[in-house]
Amino acid sequence: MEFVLTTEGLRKSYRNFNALNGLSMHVPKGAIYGFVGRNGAGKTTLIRLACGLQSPTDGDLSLYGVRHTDNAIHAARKRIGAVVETPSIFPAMTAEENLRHQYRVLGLPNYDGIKELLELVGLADTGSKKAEQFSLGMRQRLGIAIALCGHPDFMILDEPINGLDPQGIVDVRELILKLNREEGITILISSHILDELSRIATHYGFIDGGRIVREMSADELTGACRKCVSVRVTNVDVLVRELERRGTDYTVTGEDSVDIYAQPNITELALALWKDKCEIITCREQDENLEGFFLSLVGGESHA
Amino acid sequence: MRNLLRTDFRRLLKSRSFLVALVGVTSIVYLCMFFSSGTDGEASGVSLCNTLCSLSVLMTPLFVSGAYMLFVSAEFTGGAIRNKLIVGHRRANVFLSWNLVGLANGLIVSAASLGSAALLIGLFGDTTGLVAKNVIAASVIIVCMLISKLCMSVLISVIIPGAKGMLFNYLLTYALLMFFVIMYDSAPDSKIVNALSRCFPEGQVTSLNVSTMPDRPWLTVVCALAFSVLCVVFGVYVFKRKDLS
Repeated sequence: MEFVLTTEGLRKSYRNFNALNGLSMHVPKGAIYGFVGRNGAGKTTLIRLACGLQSPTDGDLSLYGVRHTDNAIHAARKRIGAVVETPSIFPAMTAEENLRHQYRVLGLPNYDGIKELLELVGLADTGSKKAEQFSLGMRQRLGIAIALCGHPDFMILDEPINGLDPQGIVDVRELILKLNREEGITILISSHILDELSRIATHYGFIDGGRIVREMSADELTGACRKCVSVRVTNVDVLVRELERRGTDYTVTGEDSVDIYAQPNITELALALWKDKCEIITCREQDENLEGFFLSLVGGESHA
Repeated sequence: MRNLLRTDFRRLLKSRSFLVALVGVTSIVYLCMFFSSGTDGEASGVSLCNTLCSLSVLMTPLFVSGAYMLFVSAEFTGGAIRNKLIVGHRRANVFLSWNLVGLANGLIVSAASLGSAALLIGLFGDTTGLVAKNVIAASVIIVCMLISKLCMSVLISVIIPGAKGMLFNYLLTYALLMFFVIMYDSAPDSKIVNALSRCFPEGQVTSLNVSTMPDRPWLTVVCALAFSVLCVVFGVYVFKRKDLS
């Protein structure tokens, strides 16, 4: 498999704080790589390193097979576009002026394609309005348009749907899918909105404490997301004791609810619980989603 | 590098800071000239040129560098610097481009204000007593001082971006002025003070004029340019190691 971005044992320290602790990740070419982690897990730090905004303390980072210490890394970076945290724009310029500026930064011979870019991100009718008067969502979309200047084949998007309204989220999702499917752009996207991420990602990297705890494809995730039976009972301690006795995987999800990762015979279970005067109130089968998988991976209240 | 220069220069010409520096400095220079010439307008060309010298080593570099610091800082505060680095521009080139565009900015503003004023004196004023050699030496020193001030201000912008950097620049200017005034009194023969005064515009405030030939002007040029190079080299070193968010 060909990788656009790989890191091996990547470390980044700020004085006494280690933001990345030997992080190793692999972003396959053509993928939409969902980068999932809690606040402070190291997502943005990794993105900053990949974009050349900061240098690693230790370890290797390669873009298109070129190590970050090689001179050729500057040429490799010409193939990427990124929105890191807040959009990088000049507030005193209009949307079109910001794009023209980026065209000049890239040394493009003409301004062809600016109107199409503005239409693509829904900013075609902003006219002479300065970026400082834009809403957060409009700034995000302008940031994406700037990142798309020069037709990059790898885009890094750090929380791109932050501050967007529901329609904006749908628009950005469709834009990302379009860029990936029609233009073949590899996309690394970090987001806290896991439900949204699960709709588009083809690969996942789960980060915790500055290291990747698991990398997997969307298909592998689907397989790994266990089906469970969610049960509400009158006495959760009795149910837990019974499940421990049977050696069944479970997660206590509330004061009176437990997710059981098995297909128990409900009648047998109900009879066993009734011996200790515990009743089953409700019982339904459900799939574990990305959020549940993430929590079980980085430390929810899961037990085995 | 060419792309960066083209981009920065284009942005400079459209920026408010450039316009403010151009209009502000030119207005102040012409106002000072007007008041220096007196009500009957009979001040000599020598005294008017000396006024220009004082303005050019104190007010102009401070005003121009302050405005240019706003220009550089805008890239940090808006985060636009990221767009240059993400697409592979080398930090050294980005920093050099800021310096070169800053110099162009300084020269344009100086030419429009000081240069035009000097030209008017030459064309319509009393040029009696003006010695061409002295005027040329003073002009070369003025340009070198502007270069040294701008290189230092770009360095400060990278270390302390934003309004804090500008404030530091102003405080540094006044600190240097005080330093040289005090040192000229307390240690007039100090070689170190003499060498330092040749590096900073603030050090030339009391000595630069067209009435006499400046003391070893070539040494002042060498010191100022060496200091400028030092600022650029140190700035590249700092900027290369700076973690950007």
